[in-house]
Amino acid sequence: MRPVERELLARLDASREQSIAFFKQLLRHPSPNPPGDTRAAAAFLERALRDAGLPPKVFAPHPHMPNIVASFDGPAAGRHLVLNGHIDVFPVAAHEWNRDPWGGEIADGRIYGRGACDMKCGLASITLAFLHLHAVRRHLRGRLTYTAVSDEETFGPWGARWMFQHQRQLMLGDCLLSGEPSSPLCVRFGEKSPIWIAISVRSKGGHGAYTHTSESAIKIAGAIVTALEEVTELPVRAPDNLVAMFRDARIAAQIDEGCGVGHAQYIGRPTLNIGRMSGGLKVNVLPSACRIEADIRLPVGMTREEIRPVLANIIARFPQASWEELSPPEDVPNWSDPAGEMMQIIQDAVLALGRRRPVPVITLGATDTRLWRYAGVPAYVYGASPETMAAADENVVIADYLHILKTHVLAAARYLGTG
Amino acid sequence: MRATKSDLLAAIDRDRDEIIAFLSGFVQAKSPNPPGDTRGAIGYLTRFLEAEDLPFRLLAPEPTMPNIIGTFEGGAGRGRHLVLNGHVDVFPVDATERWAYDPWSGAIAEGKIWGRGVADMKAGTSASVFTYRYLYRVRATLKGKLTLTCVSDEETFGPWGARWLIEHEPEVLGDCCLNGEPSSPLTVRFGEKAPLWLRVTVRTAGAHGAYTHASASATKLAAEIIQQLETLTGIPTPAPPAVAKALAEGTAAMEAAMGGGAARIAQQVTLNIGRIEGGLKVNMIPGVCTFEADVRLPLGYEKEHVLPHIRAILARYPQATLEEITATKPCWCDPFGPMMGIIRANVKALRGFEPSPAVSLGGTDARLWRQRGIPAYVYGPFPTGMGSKDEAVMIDDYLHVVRTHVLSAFDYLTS
Repeated sequence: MRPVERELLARLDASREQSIAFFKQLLRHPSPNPPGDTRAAAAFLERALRDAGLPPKVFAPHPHMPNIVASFDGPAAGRHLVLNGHIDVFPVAAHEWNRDPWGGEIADGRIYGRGACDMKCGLASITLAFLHLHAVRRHLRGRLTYTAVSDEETFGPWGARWMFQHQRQLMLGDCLLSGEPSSPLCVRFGEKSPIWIAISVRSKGGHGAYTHTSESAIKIAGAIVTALEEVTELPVRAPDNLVAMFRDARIAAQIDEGCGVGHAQYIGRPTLNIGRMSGGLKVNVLPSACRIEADIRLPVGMTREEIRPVLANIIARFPQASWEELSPPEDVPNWSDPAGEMMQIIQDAVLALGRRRPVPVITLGATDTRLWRYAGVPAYVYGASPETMAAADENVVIADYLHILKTHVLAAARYLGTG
Repeated sequence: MRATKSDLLAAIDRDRDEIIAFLSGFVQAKSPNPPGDTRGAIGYLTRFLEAEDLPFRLLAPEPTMPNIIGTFEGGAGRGRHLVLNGHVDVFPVDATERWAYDPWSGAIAEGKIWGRGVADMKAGTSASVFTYRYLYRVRATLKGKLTLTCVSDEETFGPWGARWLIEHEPEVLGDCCLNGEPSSPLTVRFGEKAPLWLRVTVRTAGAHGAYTHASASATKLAAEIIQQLETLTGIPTPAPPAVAKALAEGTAAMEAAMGGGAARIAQQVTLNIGRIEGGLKVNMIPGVCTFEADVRLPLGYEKEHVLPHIRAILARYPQATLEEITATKPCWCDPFGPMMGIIRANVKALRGFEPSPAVSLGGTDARLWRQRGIPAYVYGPFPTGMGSKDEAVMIDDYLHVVRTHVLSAFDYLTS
């Protein structure tokens, strides 16, 4: 371990309580999306940067959804590493939670709050990593850029996508490191691609007792939900190296340990979620309309072009139904080299910190890192366990957070080399 | 027919324009339920009753939902007590639907009267009001008593209308009840199926939309449960013998009145899923999904006949909970009782055919009398547009219902 790395780890050990407090404060600035207003949390991050002498640029094409960028250079030229996280989080159905979803409560070694996994743990980590590395920049080569964006949870137009369209030069680098949840046992190098559709069922309707006079839009919608499950059985043609990697029992076991039992099994298969189902006016009226929103995740080796006709055929069996696509615009499952340099740097850093070497993984959800991959920038993700992401009482183990912070710092320091 | 019945028919013919205009104005007195405020519609009726000098009083345990009760005695001695019943609240209107005529217009056009509530059931309630008026004028020749009840709070089976009157005012009980809910002129209803309304809530952990292995899906489970609940409709429910005989007689008329398939489902358990709501966002596995089920029980079968079947299905889904929203017992009265015979004979004389006894698929306030052992019969117009758009009643049908009610009440109180 180089002297600057030891110095960084010592700084992190000494500021342990402040690191935890910073994460807690970030959780206490609600930023649910919808509606997507991240101003309070963004202001909190901006203050931290300014106080460290790193006044950021802020771009808010949508006034409630600011995007923050800050950069510094080491004394010598070198490579350019970009750090990325998003500020918005999923919404909350408060009655489902036992703890305050915006409280940042600490109990039993865990910290609770909406966004803890996804992704304020990783966001706090890259923010503090950026500040710590800035403090030792005389030992670094090249450039480090920090990007904290809005509008990610709905893959909307005002966050990273806007930044790539309008401030592309600020976003691009030689490599991207993201703090999205991967679990500390895994490093994410690729992701599945979502396709989202809305299905609308219509029938005549009428009085609830007159079931002989009209079909039921809700009963038909229920049958469509069952029929859509067929997409999960479609055959997939994935690249050989990926197929081999995920068939390795040891790798699959560690993936399941980190990301949840069953995760490895679903990397190579399409999955179906029925995210919303809504229809009918009153209990005693035959419903004349019902709407379904479905979320399908395509593995590497399957494209939206392939699956669209399959969906069309399934839905065509129900003449009362029509459908439209709601998906974010980009189309292709994406991945970086599972044996690339930054992957190895991260794996070695984790080992040096005394934890098990993480395995490469393709996670099931999509992130903004895809935008860097489309631009040809290798992108890797290391962050918290995704186990309670989007659920009630979302939480992160504090020891994991502190470990992730150390990993981000070490990996960035090693990537940028030392003077 | 005796002379007095001819006089009654002649009076109805003479007053034809007034009777038609009355219903048109009644429809214009908006009374959607929800919210159920009927003060305008009740006021329309009380002004009429006052102008006609007819005895009545108002009872309003819920001030926005008043009820009219009026009674007079015949002058020809002791006899039977007939109660006329009709509700004045109507279904609401879906603002996104485009009607041929404004739903609150009471428009008179194309041989019909148009508007929300005209069939369900302002035509029938108007028939009750005119029956009360015409019989009051000839009360000297009547035996027994006639009571008029015009009530609120029926469309949601609420507590402030007929239910309240029956529980608190013995005056409304009587020996028989006549009601003008839409039965179509082809049938006389002697019984009705009963609603059992349930709410099922499915709760799961919920998760990110891509993590289908991490949490069961509340929406997928709800869809499965709904498909399994359909088996309710296969539970055998053979009709009690008297009912079976009446249904056999009434099959053709029921099909014509309520749509092909009506006679079969009259004696079957039916299931409607009226509402479903689940999930927050397309890309989250939902943690909650709720749906409301409207089960209709056929004559002779109470909720205990289907609840074990429902519970057995839900037992396979520990994430699901069941709540009962409302339940009533289906009930009926004698499909061949005296008033049924009177009505059938009058319609035969007026229109040349005999209406058949039939079972109502939907619920009415008539059940409240039948539950106390008081026979109640329903005869009214076609239910055209009931609960959807372009509700309307043919003028000829409306006048026929008025005539039938007037003559039948007269027969009941003179024989």
